Amino acid sequence: MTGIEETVISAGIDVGTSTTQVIFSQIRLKNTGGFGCIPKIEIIDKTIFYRSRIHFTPLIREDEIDEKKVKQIVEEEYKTAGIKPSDVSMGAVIITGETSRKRNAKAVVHALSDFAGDFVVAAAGPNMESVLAGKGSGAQQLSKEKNCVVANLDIGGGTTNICYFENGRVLDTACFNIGGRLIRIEESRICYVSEKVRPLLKKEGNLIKTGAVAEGEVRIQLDSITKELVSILEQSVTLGPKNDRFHAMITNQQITCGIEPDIITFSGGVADCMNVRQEDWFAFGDIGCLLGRELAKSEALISKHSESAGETMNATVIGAGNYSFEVSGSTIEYHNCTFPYKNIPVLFLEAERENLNGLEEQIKKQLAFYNSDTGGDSQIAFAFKGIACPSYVELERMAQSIANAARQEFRNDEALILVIESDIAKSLGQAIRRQMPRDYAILCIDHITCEPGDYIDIGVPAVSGKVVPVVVKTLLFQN
Amino acid sequence: MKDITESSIQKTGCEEGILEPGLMWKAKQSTTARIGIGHTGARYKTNSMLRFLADQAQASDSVFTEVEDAVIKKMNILEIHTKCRNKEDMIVRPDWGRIVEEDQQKLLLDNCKINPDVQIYFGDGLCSPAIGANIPDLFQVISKGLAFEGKVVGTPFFVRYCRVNTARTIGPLLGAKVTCVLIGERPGLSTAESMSAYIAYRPHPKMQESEYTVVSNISRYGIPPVEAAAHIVDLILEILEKKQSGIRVDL
Repeated sequence: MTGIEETVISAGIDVGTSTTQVIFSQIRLKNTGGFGCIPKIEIIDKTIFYRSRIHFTPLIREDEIDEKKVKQIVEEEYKTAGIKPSDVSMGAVIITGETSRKRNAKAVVHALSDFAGDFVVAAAGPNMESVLAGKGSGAQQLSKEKNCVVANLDIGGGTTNICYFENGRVLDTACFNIGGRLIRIEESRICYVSEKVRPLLKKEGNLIKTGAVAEGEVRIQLDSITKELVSILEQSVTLGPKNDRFHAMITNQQITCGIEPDIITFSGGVADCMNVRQEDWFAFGDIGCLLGRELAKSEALISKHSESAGETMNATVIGAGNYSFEVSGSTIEYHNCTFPYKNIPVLFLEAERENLNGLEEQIKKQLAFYNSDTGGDSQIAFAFKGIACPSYVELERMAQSIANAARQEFRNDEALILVIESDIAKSLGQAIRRQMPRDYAILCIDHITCEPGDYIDIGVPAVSGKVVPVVVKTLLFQN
Repeated sequence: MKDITESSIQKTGCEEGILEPGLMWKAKQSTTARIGIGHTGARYKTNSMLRFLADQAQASDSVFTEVEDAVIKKMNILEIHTKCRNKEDMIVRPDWGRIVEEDQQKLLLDNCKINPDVQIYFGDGLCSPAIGANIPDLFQVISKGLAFEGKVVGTPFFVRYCRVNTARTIGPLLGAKVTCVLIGERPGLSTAESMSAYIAYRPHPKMQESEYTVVSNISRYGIPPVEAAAHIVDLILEILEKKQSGIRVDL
């Protein structure tokens, strides 16, 4: 009964603005519930056993990823690592920074996730990116160890993803259009200036144009732009008064918690450029080194800087491989399910102890609203907090209410998926099953927190079928 | 007068002399142990001492009080007793707590379903309040769950002055394939209404203790009764299928 252990392989794939990387990890799951306890399956260890070479992300045009070549890179890394997609039980493909704004981004990430393994999910969106990079960098762990607020700035090619952790918990995220490859230089001439950097260009006398030689006056303007970028980063973590340019550089949202972090960590490619003495400032064909140098000069940032988070270049891909998933509670109920479930939209319910009968009405309302929006042919999941320690009567009331709604509103080929926070999934799942036709597909899991608008992926049961791996994703491709 | 046991141990602490109170409260959240309660010289503070005594009194009470008749009556079930005549016997003669005498056996035979798939009964054990607190939710969910899977559940009853090993007599007597005793567990200082389930495939007088499959710490402070019950349903189904229980079965 005790000590059941299982090791599975996870994959992380990051298709970023400038680089594409792959990692593989061994994830050890163990029943840590002692004798006489109900099972408690936990992730007890994650070991990265393969890190790919760092590849440049191949593009066909400025606005199109070379899908074929990206797939080739990933396939070759699988081969080199000696891993077959069927060996991989979990993980995530994330498409980040400017690359996520290419017109075929969605197609690429879904194609990769289909290739990479049965339960390697597609992830995207600045918030998800910030969280995964922060966790992958080690900032989350650091905040837990030091019991304080750590802000990780993942400065990549196209964007800077910021995540605040308070004692291990995600507190806030932000994303800015700041990165090393906003301006590219080839053979000492500027060959690309991103749209995103426009707000920082001089209104009159701007010399930052394609074809300009990056010397003299041009170089001075480049330096002032990188200075400005760093100043915006200072403002982004509340270490300076905000100006107009600050607002112009926000990708989707700024930090709103208003807390000054205790520690700042840096990850992403530019973090590696901070302490390098460069002979050739354009060694990487972009402004990454200049940005790194300016960053190292910022007293406000450096005074709080800690290098103990550890991962820089690999932070996002490690985030995708090691931190994108969690395991459900260990007493769950499922019957007649076809795993895995991918990209399932989550509708949110409120279950109040006083109004458990109301669940039926809520489900109907939410479904009607959702179906009118989408045409309603897709699998959905319902999430709610649940009530702590319900009585038998309360349990039956919830089950009845949910079963009534499901009987009336669900198609036969649709599974009833319930995602609950409090520890009641098995009892509620069984109670609902007693109300439904015997072969009805139902999946009821707990210990998972969702927000309205989230998407969820649910993998094949692991550790003698006691738990399922789960990925909760905030909005996929934002328009 | 204020009941000092009302606020949870996790919310009762002493910040005096603590450099980082936040950290102390956080540490207290992770355990029910009495940390962060301060001290006076080498001794407890008055509040800590009183709380300690109060919790101990509550634990001791839960051992020595009787399950009230009203509780059993409300459940509308048969009651029998072991060879013990009172709670004192129960404590000093553990062997009597296992003996179900002939007249009591006859009561069971006259009133209970014979040869069920699963016989479930309730015992006060070392914690009387556990019966009223957990059985109504626990038993309903287990019996409904088993019935849904087509298993015949025997007639439930209550055994006063009960120890787990009454199952060695009662199981064979009623001819149940699986016997499940839901029994109050020895109280600690943090909860005085916890219950365990001891489950055995065809228990018999010469069985080993290790042949019981156990689920412990069932209470609103531990494993929620309804969730524990749902888990017990699956355990019993698996035990029925494997025709084995205890540590030899990997459940």
